[in-house]
Amino acid sequence: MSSGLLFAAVGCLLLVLGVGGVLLLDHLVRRILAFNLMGSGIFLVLVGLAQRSGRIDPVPQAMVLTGIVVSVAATALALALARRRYADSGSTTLQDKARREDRHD
Amino acid sequence: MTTALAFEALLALLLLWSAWQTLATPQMDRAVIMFIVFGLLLTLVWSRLQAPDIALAEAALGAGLTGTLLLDALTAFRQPNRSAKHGRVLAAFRRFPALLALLLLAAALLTSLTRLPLPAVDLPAAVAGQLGSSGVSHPVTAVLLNFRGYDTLLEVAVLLLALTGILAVGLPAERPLLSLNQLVPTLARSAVPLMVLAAFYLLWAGAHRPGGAFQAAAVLAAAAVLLNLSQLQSRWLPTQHWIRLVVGAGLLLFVGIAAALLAGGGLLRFPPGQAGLLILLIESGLTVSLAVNLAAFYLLRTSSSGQWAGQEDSHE
Repeated sequence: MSSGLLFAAVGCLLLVLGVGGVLLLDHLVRRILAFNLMGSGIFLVLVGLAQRSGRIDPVPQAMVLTGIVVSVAATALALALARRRYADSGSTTLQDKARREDRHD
Repeated sequence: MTTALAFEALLALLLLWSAWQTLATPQMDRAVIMFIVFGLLLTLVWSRLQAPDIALAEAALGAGLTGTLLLDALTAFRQPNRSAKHGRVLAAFRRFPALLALLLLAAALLTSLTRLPLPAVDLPAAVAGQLGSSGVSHPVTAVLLNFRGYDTLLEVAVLLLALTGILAVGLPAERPLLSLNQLVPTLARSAVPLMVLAAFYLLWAGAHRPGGAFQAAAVLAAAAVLLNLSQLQSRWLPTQHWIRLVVGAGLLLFVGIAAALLAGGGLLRFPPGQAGLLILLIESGLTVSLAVNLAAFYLLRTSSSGQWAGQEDSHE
């Protein structure tokens, strides 16, 4: 098993973990973290899979470099949206406060 | 060989563990710290995958700047009972149908990973074949700015769009700064000149070895954030026009060069003779512009009126 394939497999697991986090967790910052884990998983799959035979492939490396910068921009925007939501409603989740207290979970 | 494999297996386990901790640890601030740890471990993975360009970007942006933004955002969410939800994360993952679906997804992805055919197009050979006419000798830079230059052009546009979005969402009122250990300003005073020097080195080195505009911009942005953290530099305000000018100038320079080259028959198809010079010109512009854009994600946090834009006072 080459290191490329090993880390591509790790990337798959990170993607699954991130998907679970985005779907199952409530806190918006936690979801943003999970979203970033998903992204890192995809980056590992892109580069790891292309280099599974052990040869360096500059094309996916350049794409991932672009991807990292874009994911920082997306995170900054998501955090700004989460902050605005907290300032307007006092909630750190997407649910309304009143409805959450009704559910008693 | 076995030592390398053992190290990589350990690294893979640590990476998955830190990712799990990021989601499962009850305290939010600890979750963010675990995410920064995850980013640093990922930096090691990138160097194992012989991708030093990505490792540099991951350390500076993925772990560094993202971590700073997340920690800063946490101070905005002051919740009285934030550790009261102990165990809820685990409970969320233990919901049986969700867990089953995630396990199935993991199994499907892992089996398809091993069954993929080898790629039909040999991209590394194609890049190596054209490298001579690209104007640079480092293959990753050649892909980023020459062969797939339009990716990079759109990426700069995405950064600008994100900053515009943040300004449109509105900026919070000024908060009191944390009182700092005397060590931080001292560290900043000695580190920032070195960081500026490193940024110039990375920009210049990008033509023939790992480095380039993005890594240089990340280091410059980190220097600006460090200066702000140590209170040697005040925050930026959205009314400061130079920020908009500099941030826009990078994209405009890139678009201008792309438009001037359109007559040559394709988007960003550089004539081989001038390719090296044009790439250096674009990268220099991008370094300054991206550095200000990235730093603005952190430094541009307070509105000039001290209020959320659009809230209560309407003159902003």
